[in-house]
Amino acid sequence: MEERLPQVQAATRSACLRMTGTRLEALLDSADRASCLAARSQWGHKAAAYAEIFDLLAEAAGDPAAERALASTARFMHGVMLAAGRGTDGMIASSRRRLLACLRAGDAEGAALEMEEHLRDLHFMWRLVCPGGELAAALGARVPPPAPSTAAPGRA
Amino acid sequence: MLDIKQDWRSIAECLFADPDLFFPMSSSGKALQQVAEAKEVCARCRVRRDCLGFALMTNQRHGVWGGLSEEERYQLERAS
Repeated sequence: MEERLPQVQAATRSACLRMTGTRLEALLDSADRASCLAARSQWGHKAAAYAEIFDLLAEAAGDPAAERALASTARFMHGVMLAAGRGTDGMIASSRRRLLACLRAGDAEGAALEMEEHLRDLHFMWRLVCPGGELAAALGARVPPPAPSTAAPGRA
Repeated sequence: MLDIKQDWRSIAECLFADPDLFFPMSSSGKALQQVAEAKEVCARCRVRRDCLGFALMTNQRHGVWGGLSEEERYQLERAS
């Protein structure tokens, strides 16, 4: 993961600097399509739609090295999203809004930083839940949690 | 082994935010706005991953931790 970050950051920066109105529209449309899918019943499709952004950025970056880095990241992150599950939906959606705002504003450094943090967050969650991960190990030692109620929670 | 720094609490962004944002009293109406605001605080916090890891490993049931609501943490646990 760490070795992937500089390449993805550079590719995101490059995509932002070369962004055109048409490509930005395609990114916004893709984000809209992802947001319309229900995480609860269509997580697989939603994860695929979320991963599409990496391919669209690769097209925008327009150089082979950036395309390779982002295409490989798309496959990797799709797998991470499927494994970590729909609990990551809100975090992904809010990060996408910030990333798109940076791309729209032409803020290449902001976009690269947002992408880095996004990948770190998702990778961290995946490390927690993957087979043999720390959370899986901890959960194995305790009773399964009850589903959160919709009633008012108490103070922690 | 997750590298959760022991002093992460002392540099968390939520130290400077309204604590009520992180522990809304319901899961609808105004509380949804509170959760969204809490998550915005988490999004700019440099120790949010430490916070989330702590919440999951210590079974924190309520509130927003590390940018995730209790429902989202529950889903993450179910994925493991």
